[in-house]
Amino acid sequence: MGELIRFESRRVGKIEVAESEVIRFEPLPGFPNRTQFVLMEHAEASEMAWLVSIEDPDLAFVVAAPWSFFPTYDAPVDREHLAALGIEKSEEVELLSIVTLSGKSIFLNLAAPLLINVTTRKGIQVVGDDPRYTTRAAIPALEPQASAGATSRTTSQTAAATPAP
Amino acid sequence: MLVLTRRHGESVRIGRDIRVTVVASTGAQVRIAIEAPEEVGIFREEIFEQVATANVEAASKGNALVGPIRVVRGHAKNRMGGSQNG
Repeated sequence: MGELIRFESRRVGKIEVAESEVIRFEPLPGFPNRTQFVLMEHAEASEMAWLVSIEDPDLAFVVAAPWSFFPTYDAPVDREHLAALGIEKSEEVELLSIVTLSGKSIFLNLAAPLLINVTTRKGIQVVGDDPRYTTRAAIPALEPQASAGATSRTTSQTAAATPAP
Repeated sequence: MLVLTRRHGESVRIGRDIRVTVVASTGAQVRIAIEAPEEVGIFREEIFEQVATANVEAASKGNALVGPIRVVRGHAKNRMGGSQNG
């Protein structure tokens, strides 16, 4: 299991994770010094999850599985990308899109998805130049009944990654 | 920053594994060939900058999505309703 890492993020609250949960990324474009992240899902079923930096807990990305919103998405992932992560089996692959929430609009970055080897917990952001895809692909607003409230204006932060001891 | 001059057909080597060769140059355009290990990402600068800009914007927004959260174990896409058919 390894060591526990505890930190507090302004964006997602208190977090306690095992060292083994950490995903190590090649530095993401725009954030050259941030390589260690943990993936946190919303406890109430949501289409979205958080990718939180453990080096800078105030840095967090909302991420989503692109096929939830774009069923025909043909991810711009090449053999070289899989090789770079040592991915040999499809079960080892996790592919997520970074989400931008902008007012009531939600955009997925389909041009540059995050590719993760779930076995080795290494990841890269694929910098794709496929002209079919943009870094800002708009998706329809989520239904308001979704308890995740991705479009609601919640200001209170009650997040707790682990139950109290 | 190192700046150097190369002629058509000449190369520079970056580390042991990366070789950049000038294969053609016409007017304002220079055509280069890059040989590098598979795991080294090679991007056009403007594409890389576009992704960096998108990342910075994404990270600066999204405070609306808060609530009880827990660590994702295994595949997020199974939990988040994605299906990999692409």
